[in-house]
Amino acid sequence: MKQRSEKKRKENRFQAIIEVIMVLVLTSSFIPMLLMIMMSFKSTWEVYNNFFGLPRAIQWSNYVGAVRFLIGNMWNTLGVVLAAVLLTLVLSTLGGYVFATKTFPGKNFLFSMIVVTMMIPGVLSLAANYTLIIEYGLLDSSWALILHWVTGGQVLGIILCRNSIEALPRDLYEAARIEGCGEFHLLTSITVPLVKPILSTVAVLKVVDYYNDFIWPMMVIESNRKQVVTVVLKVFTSSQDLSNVGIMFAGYVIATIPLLILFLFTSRLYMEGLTAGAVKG
Amino acid sequence: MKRRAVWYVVIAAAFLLTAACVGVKLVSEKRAEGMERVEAPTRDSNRSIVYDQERGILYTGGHNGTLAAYRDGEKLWEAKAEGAHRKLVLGKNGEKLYAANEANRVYVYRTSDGQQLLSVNVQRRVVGLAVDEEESRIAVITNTGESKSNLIFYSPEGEELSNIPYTTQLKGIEFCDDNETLLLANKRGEITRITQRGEALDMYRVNFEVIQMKKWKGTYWAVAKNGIYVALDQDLNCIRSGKIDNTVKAKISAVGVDTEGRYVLVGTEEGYLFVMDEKDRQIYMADMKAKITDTGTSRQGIYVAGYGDYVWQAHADNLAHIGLYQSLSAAAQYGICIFAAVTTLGILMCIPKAKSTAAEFLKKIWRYRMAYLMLLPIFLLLFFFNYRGTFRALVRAFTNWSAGNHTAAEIDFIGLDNFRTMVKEGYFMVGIRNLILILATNVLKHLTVPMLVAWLIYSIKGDRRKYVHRFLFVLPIVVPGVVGALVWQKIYDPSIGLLNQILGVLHLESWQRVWLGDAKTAIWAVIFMGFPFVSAMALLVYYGGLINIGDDMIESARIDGGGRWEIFWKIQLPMIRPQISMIMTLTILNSMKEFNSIYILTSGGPGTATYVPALELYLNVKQYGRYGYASALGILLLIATVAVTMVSNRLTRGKEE
Repeated sequence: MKQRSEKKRKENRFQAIIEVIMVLVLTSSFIPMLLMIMMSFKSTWEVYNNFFGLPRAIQWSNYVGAVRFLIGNMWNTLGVVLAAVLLTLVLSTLGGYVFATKTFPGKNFLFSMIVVTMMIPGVLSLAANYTLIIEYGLLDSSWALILHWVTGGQVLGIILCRNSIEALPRDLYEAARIEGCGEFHLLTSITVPLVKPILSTVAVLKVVDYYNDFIWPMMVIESNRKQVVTVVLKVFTSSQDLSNVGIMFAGYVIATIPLLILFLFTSRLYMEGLTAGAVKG
Repeated sequence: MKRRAVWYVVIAAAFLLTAACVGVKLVSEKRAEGMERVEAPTRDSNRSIVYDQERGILYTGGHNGTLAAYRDGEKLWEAKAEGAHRKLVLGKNGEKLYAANEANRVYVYRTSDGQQLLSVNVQRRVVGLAVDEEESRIAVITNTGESKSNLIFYSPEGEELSNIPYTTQLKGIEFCDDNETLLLANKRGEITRITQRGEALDMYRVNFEVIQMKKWKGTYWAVAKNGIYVALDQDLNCIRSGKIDNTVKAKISAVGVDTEGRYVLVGTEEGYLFVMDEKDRQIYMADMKAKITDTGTSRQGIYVAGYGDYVWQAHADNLAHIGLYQSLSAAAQYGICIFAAVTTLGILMCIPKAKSTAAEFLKKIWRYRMAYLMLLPIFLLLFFFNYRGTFRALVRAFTNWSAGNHTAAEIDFIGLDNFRTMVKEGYFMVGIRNLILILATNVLKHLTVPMLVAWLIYSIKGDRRKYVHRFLFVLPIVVPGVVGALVWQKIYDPSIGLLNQILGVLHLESWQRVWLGDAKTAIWAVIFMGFPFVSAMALLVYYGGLINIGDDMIESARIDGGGRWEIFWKIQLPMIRPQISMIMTLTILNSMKEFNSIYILTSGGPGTATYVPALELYLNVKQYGRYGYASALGILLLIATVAVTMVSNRLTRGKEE
């Protein structure tokens, strides 16, 4: 009895220690986020003279200013990212379906031609792809973003879809074919509903990927109107002195909101997506 | 038998067509080169040029006072003066070269050997110069302010003959054929014919600031600020006029004309050049990437010099039909592909065995057409946006490919020179040193903190608490990478940065630094970014590994009297080795190609303190336009990537066996 309570006390002490360490690590990893939010509510005077204190009067004007310079690009970015993700999903389903259900000459070769692109670091062909975009006449066009993203993004999608369709029972497709089900019907009414979970994982993962892209848009998009949020923020930050610090931070907060919303609704998929992204290698 | 004869005819015809297409391609490719680079290296930015058509000598005047003479790409001589050579004028028989220099001087050189014959101190900024037929007078125009100019005449010995002041900026001066009168262009857009005493005889109004005026075979060509150009005779009758289609809103900087006076070239400060044909229609536009400063009439076209160590020759005749030749060349290329394919196919068809296998192969492909059709969009994208680029990078890494030379005619194979440059220039070596540091610290970061946190979450009691903690630790990844880097940049800010503020509160002012601006601390600031380094991915992977270890295993270890510490080292850590090695591989691969955050934090600075190879690659593409060199760097990264992947595969496979 005594030994048991001793053990319990030890366990409680251990749990308390864990909690303390966790809180310490957690707080420090939230510092940049908290800093960003705090600063976004302060006036420039307060940033300099009341650095650590809470904002005395919340400066909504920072957000008004940030929305004004960011909103156009935000809608534009969301539109481009969404279009690219939709295209990625379509091609992933298509590729996954073909590679999982059909046998045809050169299947393994073609599949390895897709997989091998994951091995090649994107920076290798940075110059080449940039000049190709110019040759295609796509410089400063949103297509330069969409097509580039989808080309890289479809690969993981195809692999994940193939695996998940191959895991489906074999006779499912045979039965459907015997019933006289056409290729298109097979794809849209049987395959898509069954691979929905994996498609949503791919979607979440790719939204994050595309939204975070910075270097490629900076290279191929020249007009400010068509530029994506990340690049606009960087350009805004380097073009301003520190007198507009509040607006700057408000802009950072606004740029974070889309991913935050996505995370709150799909945190499970998000976490799964992350690990799936890791496993792809 | 008859069918076979038909085959032979088809093969022969296809072969001939292939050859014809190759011929067309070669011819049209040459003609499609509207702009040709002329070898005239001076290690100075060109400010003015003049070409002696009879002797075939090209003279270039540099921004830093270099004056050089070239014949067929061979340097004859070079002379050095103080300021920028604003304008070069050749004497009547090409024996003397007059140079208007911005450092208040007019120089006269002997063209045979570059000997300086005369140096006149004008005491004002010289912007233009003209010499009469007998070379008995030198007319010089100078600017001394927004609206103060002088027209000064000198004798061939450099004595000042007369000086006429003007209250507007003078832009150009040329002698008329009678050797008595001159044409004078000014900022108000007036071109005036004057006597040598300065009396105005006649005036032509362009209405916009005249940028440059040039005389060619008795005709005076002037270009105005708004892109209008005029050709006048010496009586100021307008022979021709036109306007460039300046949709890019470039600032006009130069005008030129070809030998026959048919084609007109207009250059701009932004580097765009426009060519107009004899009917004043715009036939060509190109971006030379550097301010165009002067033009010279050559035998076959127009020389163009700009703010860069180069001279281009515009082949006016080719420019007129450049569109035609370009499309012809492209069509010929397709022709070659198609007819060559037909030829090979035909030859193959003559071998009976090949014929039957080919037929079978095609039949097979046809049977599975649906599968191929569905894969088509995927492979089209891959072809145009991945394979082509990769192939081009792999090939052109061994060439001098750059933003300036990117046509097939200009790209030359230079072997391993790009790789030699990496060692020689040293930026790459600095980058490698930083990269090793970053790699080592990144491996450490991904091994320690995420492991600790994963283990803590694993050890915590209650599923709900586990979930909440996992959720909270992953939450910070919603901050986009760029925003994260920008916030950290602000954390390091010397005045309003969190780091210096904290040091200030702790009264450690002496520890405060300009973290990102100091070469000693910058790289450490970059490494410290992201503290406390809870990588969400590593955390989730480790955690996944930990919960996959069977409970009974841990339980039996506990019964055997093992403490947490012992269980962790002896059971859990060895069990999640696959996860660890995967995260390590990923960390190494990502660290090698990642440069976003460094670009945002420091752009590689101060100096080269935070350079990494991937960043150098990017800068060479976007800022220096050295595409070949950038691709060579890419190849090294590819090799490193493949090597790391292979080693890690070997290691994990070795463990499984």
